Amino acid sequence: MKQFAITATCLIAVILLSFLLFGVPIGEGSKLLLEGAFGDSVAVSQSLVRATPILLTAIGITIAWRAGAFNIGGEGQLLVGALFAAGLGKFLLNSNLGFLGCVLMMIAAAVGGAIWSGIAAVLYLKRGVDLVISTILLNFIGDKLLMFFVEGPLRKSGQTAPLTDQLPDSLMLPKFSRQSDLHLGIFFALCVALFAGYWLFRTKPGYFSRIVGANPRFARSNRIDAEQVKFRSMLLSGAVCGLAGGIQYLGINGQLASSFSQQYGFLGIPVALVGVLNPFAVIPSAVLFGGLFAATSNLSRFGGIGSYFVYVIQAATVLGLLIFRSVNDRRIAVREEA
Amino acid sequence: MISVLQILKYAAPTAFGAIGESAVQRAGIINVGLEGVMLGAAFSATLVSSATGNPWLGILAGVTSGITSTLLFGLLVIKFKLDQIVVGTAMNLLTLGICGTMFEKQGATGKLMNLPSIPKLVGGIDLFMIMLIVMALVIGFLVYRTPYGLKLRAAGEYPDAVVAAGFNPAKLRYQALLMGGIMGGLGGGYLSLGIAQSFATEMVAGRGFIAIALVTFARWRPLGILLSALMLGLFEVLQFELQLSGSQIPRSLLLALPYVATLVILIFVGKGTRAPQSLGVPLKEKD
Repeated sequence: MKQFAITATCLIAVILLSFLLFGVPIGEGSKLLLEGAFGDSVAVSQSLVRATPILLTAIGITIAWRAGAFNIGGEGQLLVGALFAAGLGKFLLNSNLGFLGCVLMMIAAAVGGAIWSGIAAVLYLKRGVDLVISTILLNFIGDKLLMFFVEGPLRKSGQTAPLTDQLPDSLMLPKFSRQSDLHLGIFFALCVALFAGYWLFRTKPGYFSRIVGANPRFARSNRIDAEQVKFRSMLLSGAVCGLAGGIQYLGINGQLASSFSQQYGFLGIPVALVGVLNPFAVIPSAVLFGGLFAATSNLSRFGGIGSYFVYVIQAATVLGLLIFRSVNDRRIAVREEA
Repeated sequence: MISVLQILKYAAPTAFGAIGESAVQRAGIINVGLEGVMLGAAFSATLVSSATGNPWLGILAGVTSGITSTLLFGLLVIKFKLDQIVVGTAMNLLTLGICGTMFEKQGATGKLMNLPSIPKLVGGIDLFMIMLIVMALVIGFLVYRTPYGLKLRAAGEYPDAVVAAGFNPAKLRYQALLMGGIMGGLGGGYLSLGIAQSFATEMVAGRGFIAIALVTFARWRPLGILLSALMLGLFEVLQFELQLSGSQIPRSLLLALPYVATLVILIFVGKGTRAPQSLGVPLKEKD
């Protein structure tokens, strides 16, 4: 409880400091922020809408990082996932599949993400290409690939704007109410998070994963094929990040433009770390960051501050929380030594 | 026509960033926040040079901003021992946020769109190009041919040995970051003042990330980095030329070219690369 109080104080301090730096009036600004995140049921659901893709990418990152595979390609995997979903969507446009179509597209998204992380995993396994480097590059290649398809093969026919076809409502994820954007995706995201937690902490492959991440030499001496485990974790990680893209596409946009992602893939990394790479703790962490997104977009709508401000607050929050934790850990260590 | 000078110009920002990053990585730190370092520098250089009308002060501001970012990064990963990749990612977001917000506030006036240009020397060569080559030689010499460089590299291979020899690996890592900041600052400054002569929030466009990849495939050697950056510069210029000539190849695929090229080269270099042993590993408590 005391921990929580200090963390909350940290967070408020960070936000107030950013306000001061950018000349946002504090009273007005805080009011807009709070209203944007928790003001009413619409605000709360908006926070959850924003939390959905972040939760999924953070879970994807968690799965890979736990096995010591430093996947920082969540962004590219998300984009390619969305692209696969939209590619399948083009064929399903005039079908009457309904929810089944949705499920198929989500599977396509996961496959797309897994292929994208799989490329990095294969290069690592076969050619020793560092995962950090290859996933960074694949982020950019994924981004350009999306651009290519949106401007070319997937562009809505008879239209010059680089946009794909708009999915009909019947093919999109159902929404909980007419007033808000909150869609079934949050439910899937939570399921994935809970399942990932179960998988990591209660199953044998998950256990192997954690061993490989914690101590690859110990893993090898117990005849666990560390490389194989990392490979599997990368594929799973990419699949979840790809699913994030698919769910965002099916829940919110229903249409792709080359500006599809809002750094959700990159954001997954700090969100996963704030959630100490534990899927159960990543859930509140993602909700917190989703809330920050909703809060700042309210601020930018009414408070005369640009849309980039959210990144300042999110990054400052991550750094603030991590510093706090590091200092705290060290204090505990010192106390134990004494 | 594609000229060597043009290639050098487009290669320079990445090359600056990558050469600085090579020193940083040799000392055992991977700064994924290089993209942000360059963006911050490009913006600071823009602000100061448009306010004072003096490009040299702009460059100075860029370098100062670069140093500030890398030293802040150093504080977080060396003093607080936070994960380097996470801090790097967060720093990228932070810089994007700060520059984006400030630019939206001021950029609307269009004042930042017209910057004083850097004076050219003979035949279109500017000071940055000379500085780039000089710095590649200097950093290469410093890191690989001096006793100081030996200490610096040891901090990235086996920091315990540095401690045993009576030196401070944390200090060495900060010094490497200082070099990284200066170089990243020059790269960012050149991008806005030398190449674009304006500022846009997305202007770094992944050059910082490419720079990190370049370091690996040139095996941490500044001159190798310079050469590989030139090769990528060639791709970039080629891409412009193809676009201008109205070719049928889609723009997106041309834009992807440098990234694909980098990846393909990494595949060939593959297992031949050997990273510093303690790259990304924080120092122990007592160091």
